[in-house]
Amino acid sequence: MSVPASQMWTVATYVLKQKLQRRRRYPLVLMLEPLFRCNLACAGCGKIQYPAHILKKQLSVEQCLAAVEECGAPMVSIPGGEPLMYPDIGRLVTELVARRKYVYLCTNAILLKEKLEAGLFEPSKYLSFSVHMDGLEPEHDEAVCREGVFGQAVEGIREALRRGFRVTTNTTLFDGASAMRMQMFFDEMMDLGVEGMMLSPGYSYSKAPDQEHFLRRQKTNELFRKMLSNPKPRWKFNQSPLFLQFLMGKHDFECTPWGNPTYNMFGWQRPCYLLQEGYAASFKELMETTRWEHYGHKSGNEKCKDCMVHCGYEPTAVDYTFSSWKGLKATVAATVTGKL
Amino acid sequence: MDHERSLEGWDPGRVEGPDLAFIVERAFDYRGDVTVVHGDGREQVGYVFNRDAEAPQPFVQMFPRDGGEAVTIPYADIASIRFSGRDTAAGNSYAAWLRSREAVKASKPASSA
Repeated sequence: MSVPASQMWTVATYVLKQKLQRRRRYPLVLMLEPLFRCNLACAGCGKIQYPAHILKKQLSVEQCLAAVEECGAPMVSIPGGEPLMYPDIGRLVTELVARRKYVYLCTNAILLKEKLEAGLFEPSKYLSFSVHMDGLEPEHDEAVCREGVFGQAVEGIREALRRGFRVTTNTTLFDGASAMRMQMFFDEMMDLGVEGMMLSPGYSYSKAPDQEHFLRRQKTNELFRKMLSNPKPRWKFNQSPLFLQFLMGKHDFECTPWGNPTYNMFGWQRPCYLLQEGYAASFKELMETTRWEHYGHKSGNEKCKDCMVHCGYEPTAVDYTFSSWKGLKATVAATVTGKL
Repeated sequence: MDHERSLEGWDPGRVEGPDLAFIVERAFDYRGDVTVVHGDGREQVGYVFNRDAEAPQPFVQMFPRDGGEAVTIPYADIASIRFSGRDTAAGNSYAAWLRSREAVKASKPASSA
């Protein structure tokens, strides 16, 4: 695993503090969406289908920072939309780094080289560009519905690494993905020099154009077992090893929908990053008034039935690590040996 | 793709009670602008992003198409909702992209096979 020690320490102390305070529900990563605009229209994405006047709107930096303070999570992920299209992204990141938040700027990297050359960002242990890469060149360009994007992303990654930035990749897997081709992709990303990779099965957004290629649970387990049963020591994953083991079918976790709360121009999204069942005006209202028992695999909610996405299950894996010696032992073993 | 028919262009007429709650839910799920017709006949066009049918005074929240801050409209003030704007989630852009990609491939000269 490739999460830096300082970040692991921050997360560990944060989670233990929540445990000591007997806080049953706590956020781990704030999903901060400053805008919905994007320079791509990927087939599996249900995030950008809005009227033009909504796509033109964006949060102010002050609104973003207020949400970060209100939430209190030690990590902030900035998806969107495409965050590099947010005019104040440089100032937002600077402010978050000053607050010692670990920032994952989730980007398709089309604009990355340009923004780096413009001097928008400074390298920091708190900042990682999390570049969207859905596989080798043909698979990625197909997933984002535009040819040439893989090449642009690779160029952006190289430039970021050359300038000393942390770079990770985030990969969404759909039905039909080849385990062997994904292993080749892992090799290619490691050759590029990224710090680590993040993997997740896709979620079947009801508004996404492509509704036919989402993985069901059993297929997810099969694919991840094939991909990761014998991982090469050089493959580094920037996520909880227990989450990857869950995807391989080795753990029976339940969803933690409050683990990665989402804030955007509509407010605090209920119940999670993927489902849009309404909005709360404050983080407190979100936590206290959402009917959490209606969500997760065991709830019987049809929308949650096949979901194994990182935003719901990675917080469970992290919580499990710090809830028992068994969890801690399993995490340490996977981290030290690299075996999943 | 979503096989449910798009509600684009639908005008359910004057509604109240459970029908109003049903229409509000559809408007909340709709990825396009709607026209809210108030009880006094006034009309407001915008994107409905939130609603709460269980609040003491049930309401919808909407960003007006003409800009500005979000507005909150009590259910009691709503006479009807028309699905007047384009449904941005409708259509088959993935299938369209696949078709265009195949067309580009077909237009290229065949490789030396």
